[in-house]
Amino acid sequence: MTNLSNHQLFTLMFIFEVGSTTLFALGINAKQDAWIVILIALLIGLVFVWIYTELQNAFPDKNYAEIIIAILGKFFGIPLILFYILDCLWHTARNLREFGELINLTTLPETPLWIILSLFLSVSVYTLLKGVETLARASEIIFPILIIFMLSIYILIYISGDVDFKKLTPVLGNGIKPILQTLPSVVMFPFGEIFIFLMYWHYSNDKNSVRKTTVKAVLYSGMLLCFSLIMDITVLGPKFTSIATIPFVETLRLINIGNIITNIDIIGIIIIFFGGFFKMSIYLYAIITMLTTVFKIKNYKSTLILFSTFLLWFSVAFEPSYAYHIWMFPFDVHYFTIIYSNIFPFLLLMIYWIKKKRAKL
Amino acid sequence: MWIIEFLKKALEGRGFYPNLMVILSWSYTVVVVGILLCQLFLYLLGIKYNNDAFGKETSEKKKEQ
Repeated sequence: MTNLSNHQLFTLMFIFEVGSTTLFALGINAKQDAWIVILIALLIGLVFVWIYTELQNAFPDKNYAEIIIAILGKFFGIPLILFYILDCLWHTARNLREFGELINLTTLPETPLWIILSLFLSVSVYTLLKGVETLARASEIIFPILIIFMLSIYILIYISGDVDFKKLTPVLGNGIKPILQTLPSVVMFPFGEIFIFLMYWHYSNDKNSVRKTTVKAVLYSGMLLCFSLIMDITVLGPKFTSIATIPFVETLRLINIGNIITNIDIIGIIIIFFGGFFKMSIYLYAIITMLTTVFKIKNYKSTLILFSTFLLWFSVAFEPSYAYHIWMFPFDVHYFTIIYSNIFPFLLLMIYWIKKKRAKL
Repeated sequence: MWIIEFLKKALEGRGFYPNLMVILSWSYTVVVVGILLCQLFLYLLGIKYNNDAFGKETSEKKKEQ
C-alpha cells in the first residue's frame, strides 16, 4: 500500500508549483506590477486550495476519479474523468515539450527534439514504474538542492550589481486594469494546477494535515515565484522580461562576479529541469491512475508504458513550434484549463453539499 | 451571431486539439451546472436523496478522531 508522509507531499507540491513556472514571466502583461498579480493570485489560489481539500476531506480514502464518480454517478462522472484525462494530457505534453525545447535552445541545439524528449520521458517512466513513493523520496532529495540553488542565484545576482529596484516603479503606474486582466491566468497557472494532488492526497499517512501541508507548499512556492519575478524585472526590466524567450535564463547569464563566477546558466538549466521532471511525472501518474480507475485496468505498468509512448509522439506532433507553444498561453487557461482546475472542483463541491443535505432530510 | 464571430476569432489557427477541448469543456460545464441546478431544485422541494452512506465517510472519520 502506498503511503506518503507530510514532508513528501510538501516537497512534491512545492516542486510541482515551482516546476515550469520559472521559465515564464508570470503576469508580465501587468509590466512592473507583475509581482502584485502573483500575490493576489496566491491569495485566490489559497481559497481554491480550501475547495480542493474540502473535497478530499469529504472522501478521505478516494482519489479524484473516485470522488467524481461518488458525487456525479457513473453516467455523468465517467465522461468528466475522460475529459480530465484529455486536460492532463494537454498539460503533460506541454510540460514535456517546453523542457525539451529548453534543452534544445540552451544546451543541445543540434540534437533532435524527440531524442531529448524520449530520454526525459524514459527517466520519468522508470521512476513511476518503481512507484509514486520513489518519486516522493526523490523530491525530498531534490527539494533542498532547488532551494539552495534559487537562493544563491538571488544572492549572486545582487552581488553582480545588476539589480535595480527602481525598475519596479511606478507601482500601479498603469492602474489596476492590467492586473485584473492578467489575474485569471496566474490563478490557474500555477496555483490552480494543485488540483492534480486530489489524485495523491489519499495516499497521505496523516490525512488531517493535508490542508495545512498544501497551504504551506502553495504559500512558500508563491512567495518564491514572486521573488523570482521581482529579480527578473529588477535585472532585465519589464520590457525585456516580457519579450525574452526564457527570462530566468537571461537573468542567470548576467551573473558575473569578478570574471570568476560566471556562465552558470547551464547549472541553472539542469536545476530548473528537475522542476519540469517532477511536474510532468506528477501529471503522468495522475493520468495513469485515472485511466486504471475508470477502465478498471489491473496492469498499471503496461498502461504507463503504452501511454508514455503515445505521449512521446503527441508532445512532438501537437505543437508545430516553440513560438506556437508560447502563443497558446494564456489562451489555454482562459478557454479550457481553468474549467478543470477551478470551475469543476467548485461545482462538484456544491453538488456534494446539496446531496449531503438531501441525504439527511 | 456575435458568439460565432467571437469563437471564430478566438479559435482561428489554434489547432484541432485545443478547439476540441474548448468545445468539450464548455459543453460539459453546462451539463454539470444543469446537474447542480437540478440538485438545488430537488433540495428546495424537500426530496430526500436515498443514499444514507453519502457523506457518512467523512462524519465517521471525524468521530474516530
